[in-house]
Amino acid sequence: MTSKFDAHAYVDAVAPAMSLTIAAESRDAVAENLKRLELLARQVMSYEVAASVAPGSGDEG
Amino acid sequence: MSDPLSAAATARDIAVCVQRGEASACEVVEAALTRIATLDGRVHAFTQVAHDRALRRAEAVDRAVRGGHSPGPLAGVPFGVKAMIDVRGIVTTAGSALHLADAPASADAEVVRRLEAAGAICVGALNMDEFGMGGTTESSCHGATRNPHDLARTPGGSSGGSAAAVAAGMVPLALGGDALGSIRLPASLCGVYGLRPTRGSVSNEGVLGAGGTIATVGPLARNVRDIAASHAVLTGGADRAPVAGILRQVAIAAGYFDDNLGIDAAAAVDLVRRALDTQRMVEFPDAARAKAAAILVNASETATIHLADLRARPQRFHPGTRDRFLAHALMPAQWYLHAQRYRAWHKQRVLQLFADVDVVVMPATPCVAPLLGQSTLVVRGEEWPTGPMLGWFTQPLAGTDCPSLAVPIARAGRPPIGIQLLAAPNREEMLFDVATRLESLGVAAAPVATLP
Repeated sequence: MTSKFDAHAYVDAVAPAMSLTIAAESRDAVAENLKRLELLARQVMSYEVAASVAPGSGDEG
Repeated sequence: MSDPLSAAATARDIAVCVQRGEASACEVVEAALTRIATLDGRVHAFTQVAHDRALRRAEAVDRAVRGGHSPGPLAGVPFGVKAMIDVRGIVTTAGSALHLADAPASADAEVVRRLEAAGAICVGALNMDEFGMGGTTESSCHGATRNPHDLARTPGGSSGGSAAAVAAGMVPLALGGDALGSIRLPASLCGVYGLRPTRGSVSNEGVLGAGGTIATVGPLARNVRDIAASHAVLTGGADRAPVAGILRQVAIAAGYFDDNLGIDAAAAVDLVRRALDTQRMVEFPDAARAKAAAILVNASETATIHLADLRARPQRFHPGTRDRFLAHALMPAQWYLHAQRYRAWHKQRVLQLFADVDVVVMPATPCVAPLLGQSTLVVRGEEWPTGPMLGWFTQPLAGTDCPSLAVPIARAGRPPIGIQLLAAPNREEMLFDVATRLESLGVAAAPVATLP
């Protein structure tokens, strides 16, 4: 599964907005972790859940 | 009845003997402390041992017995807690250097209060992967824990210290924490029972880093009766003795859960299938996607908990943990929100399966414990990163809130491995009944490890 997600650019852009400083020695590892998360997210986001289903643990049915 | 002072003593037998005055709580705790002192230099399950606190509480239990009062259903039972659970007088490190210099906890976590109100006695804190972020108990600032059945191997994680302490017979009972498998995975690799209770049924108050919608605290022990008894105390429910003879509708998980099993895992599931004489198969919907959703939810929630420290003192984290948390903290909110919505939908689909099935059997881990430091493992000829593969079967249904019990399969002379039993929420009695039947048939067993 190929991805156009530029994890390094994303980290560089978003970390300051979260008041997070990514040390140079961590940048690659953080980006790799994000790439893995992005693959998981694509699996989940590709499934359309009915609009009536609210975020939560399902207790609301 | 087991000797209450021995490593093989069950929690229930200890409680009965102490209540009858056949053994004192002080004797039981001193025996446990001696075993810890003797064995833990090799296993490294405990991060802190609370000698004075334990003996004071044991004296209180003994005073109650002498006064004709019942200390409770777990009278005199020594237990340990995962190092993320507050115990008054002990520093709650959660396996992280970030908390080594903290002041000791000023109060017990709710789960500790409940167990001690039932007469049990906390003897110390147990090692874990830093903040629960691991499956091998190797990222702890306290150093790695070793598997008592083979000291060259990992006990699994992140509740590796809890599983190892019980497997080695240091204590008959321990508490762990499980979001995506951190009780069930080490229980399987150490050959003990580990319960992930219905999420929300056990308090997370006083548990560091437990905020979120996935994780729960649960017990580990070497027999089903002790798991059931401690579960009753933790939840305030009735302590019903499990019944092996009750016919429960059991099915075997197919599809996702029938793939990527190594030889030992496949043999374990097949043994249980034959013992329970069930041919019925069920397939959980969308297991791979459900796993992805559970991982995303847990990732975002755990990063939120540690955000302040990630900003202020990132260098104090284990580097691997830090870099994962940083990535988790940067996740777009829509990933998390959609994962939670998908989770809600998926849970309802899973609950429909339990309309005519009581318990589902599935593998717990794909293989036996890998070596410490082993970064990859081979399953069915394919090489995988160790951490993600060990959690292969414990992660997909973590978002459904269903209770799951890791059950050790009797394998004399071979490395331990367990299976999982899954039931609908708040139906733990189904798990206990089926596990008890496996125990009575000799299919499930958790003998004390023999250390070299």
